[in-house]
This record gives sequence, structure tokens and C-alpha cells, in this order.
Amino acid sequence: MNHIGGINTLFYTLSNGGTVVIADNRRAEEICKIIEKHKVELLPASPTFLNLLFLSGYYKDYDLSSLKIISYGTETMPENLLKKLNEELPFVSFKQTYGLSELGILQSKSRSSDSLWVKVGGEGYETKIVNGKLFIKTNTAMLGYLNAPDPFDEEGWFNTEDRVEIDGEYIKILGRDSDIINVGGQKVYPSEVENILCQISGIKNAVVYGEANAVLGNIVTAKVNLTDDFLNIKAYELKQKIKEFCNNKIELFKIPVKIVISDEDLYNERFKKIRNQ
Amino acid sequence: MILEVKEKLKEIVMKNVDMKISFKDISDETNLIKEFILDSLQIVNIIADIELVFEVAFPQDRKTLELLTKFDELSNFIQKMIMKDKVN
Repeated sequence: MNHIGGINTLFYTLSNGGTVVIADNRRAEEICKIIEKHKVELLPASPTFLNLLFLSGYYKDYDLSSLKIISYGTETMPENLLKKLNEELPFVSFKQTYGLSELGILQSKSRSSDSLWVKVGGEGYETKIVNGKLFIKTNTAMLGYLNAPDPFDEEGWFNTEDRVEIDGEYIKILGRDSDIINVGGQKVYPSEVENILCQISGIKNAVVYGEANAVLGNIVTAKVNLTDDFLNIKAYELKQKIKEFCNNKIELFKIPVKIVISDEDLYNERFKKIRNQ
Repeated sequence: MILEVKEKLKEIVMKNVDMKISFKDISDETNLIKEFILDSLQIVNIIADIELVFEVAFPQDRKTLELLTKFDELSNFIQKMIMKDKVN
């Protein structure tokens, strides 16, 4: 419970007379077991955890029919994963949440269960988009950081550093500015590339980040966990397969230049991808 | 051994250029950047592929770029790095 999302879920559930089930550990099987045993209706999770749940297949071994909502946030949801989850768990409504420790959790409404477009704001929150970045103003914001510059502008707006696309009242979160990789002046959103890589059958999970390079400033590097389909594959051979798969799906500068095959987890204890390698 | 390095290196170059080329289009004197009109992305991909295939690490400086102006020098440089790794 060391994240604003967890605190929000705890307070929201308890203040509405609900019951909170706290897991002993966050392994996919344990979570499925708990859902079956306690007839859990709401599962708040990160996209990384949902990917593990999907890959593990444990959701097929337990009765998860009590689940009504899976709320996801804290990082960008890969479109392909959301599609697969909707196919595998058609009785569940997937809802995107949005919030920051600095501001609290905003009300949010996904356009549909399989859509990444979301409306955020609600009572007490004002939002605006400036140069593709989301700014939020609220009276419930924190006072400021300790021993650090004030992050609010003169009018009280907080720059979330989240890049968004707009469609009417809805926004689509593309990624945080600090995660964006600048390849010779062209921007690469890691989540877009990760989404493509995870569509390759031998790739279990992928994390994409920038690496300093003398020629281009930065290059795109992908660290991947593989399935048995790619057992003993060499990094060069894997890179060729990735290039082939990505061709015509994303621009050439977005295709990873370096590939690192890893057995290590690509996420932290909160199931959030570790991009600052 | 140098022949083996050259063969593998030619394969890497061929996979990263836009035009269709064969082994015989690359000689010891070939300036890869000029001859195959390499852009920055192709250059970094060639270097990264060399690092993956030969399990060596290139220095992050302009000298690496200069090596691509003569195929023979690039091959020799790779071979030296392989030998150095073996000694260490």
C-alpha cells in the first residue's frame, strides 16, 4: 500500500461499505486464488501485472466470474494487451484510472472496456492540454515538494509531463515525457514499441528505453523476457526477427537497435516497468 | 580467421543497406558510408549488429564512424578486439 492508487482503492472501498482483501503476495496465481475464494468484484492492477496474469494462464484455472471490474493505471496500457484481456475475460469491464501522488486520483471514464480513450477530471479538478501535455489544477493538490522547486505555475496548474492525444472530451495517454526517447530529434514512446514487441509470440515481456549514442544522441534499446518458443535464440537472430515483425508496423527509427535478452524481472515490486536502466 | 570476420561482416552490411548488394560488391577498399549511402540509423544498426555477432563493444566516439569508411580497416579492428577479448 505504498502507492496513491492503492490508498485510493482502500479508502474508496471502505467508505462505500466494501471489503478489502489484501494478498500475501502479488503472484498471479495467488491473486486468482483470492478472487475465487472471496468472490472479489474489483481488481485494481497495473498493465504489467495484467500481462503476467494473461501469460501465466492462471485465470483459466480459477473461477473469476465474480469479477466485475478490473481497473488499470500507473503506466500506459498496451492496446494489444487490452484487446486480449477483453477477449479472455469478456464478463469484466476494464476501466482506466488516472491520478498522481501530487494531486490525488481524478474521476475517470473509459470510452469502452476495450478503449484506451478516457475522460478524466470531475468535481474539483480542472484539466487543460498545452502542447500535447496534460496540466491539472485542483484544490486538493499537495502543498509542494520538500527541499525542491515548486512544481505548480503561478495559476496553480501542475504539469503532469504526460503526453496525450485528444478526441473531444476524451484523451489517450501516450507516455510520460521523461520516458520519451529522442532518436536524432525524432520521438519514440517506449510503450508503443513495447506493445508491438509483445505481439511477437516468443516474447513474454519487453521494456524499451533510450541509450546514449554518439551518432544519434540516443538509440532504442529493448530488454526482453522470452518464452520457450525462443529458447537458446541468439540476440542477433532475435533482432532480425524483431526487425522483420516491426517492418511496416512502426517507423524504422522506432525499431530497437539493441536487444538485451534477460531472465530478470522487467518490473519493480509495484509491477511497474523499469525503464531507467 | 580474418576471412570469417569479413564474411560475417559482409552479411551484416547487406542486411542493413537499402539497395540490393552481393558479397562481391564489398571489397577491402569499400567506403561503406559513401558506397551504400548509409544514413545515421543504418550506421548505428551496423555497429550494434557487429557488437551482437562478434560479442565486442565499440568505443562511443567518432573513430568508430571512421572505421566504416574502409571495409578492411573495420574487419581488422573487429579481429583485434576479438583477439584482445580472448587474451583477457
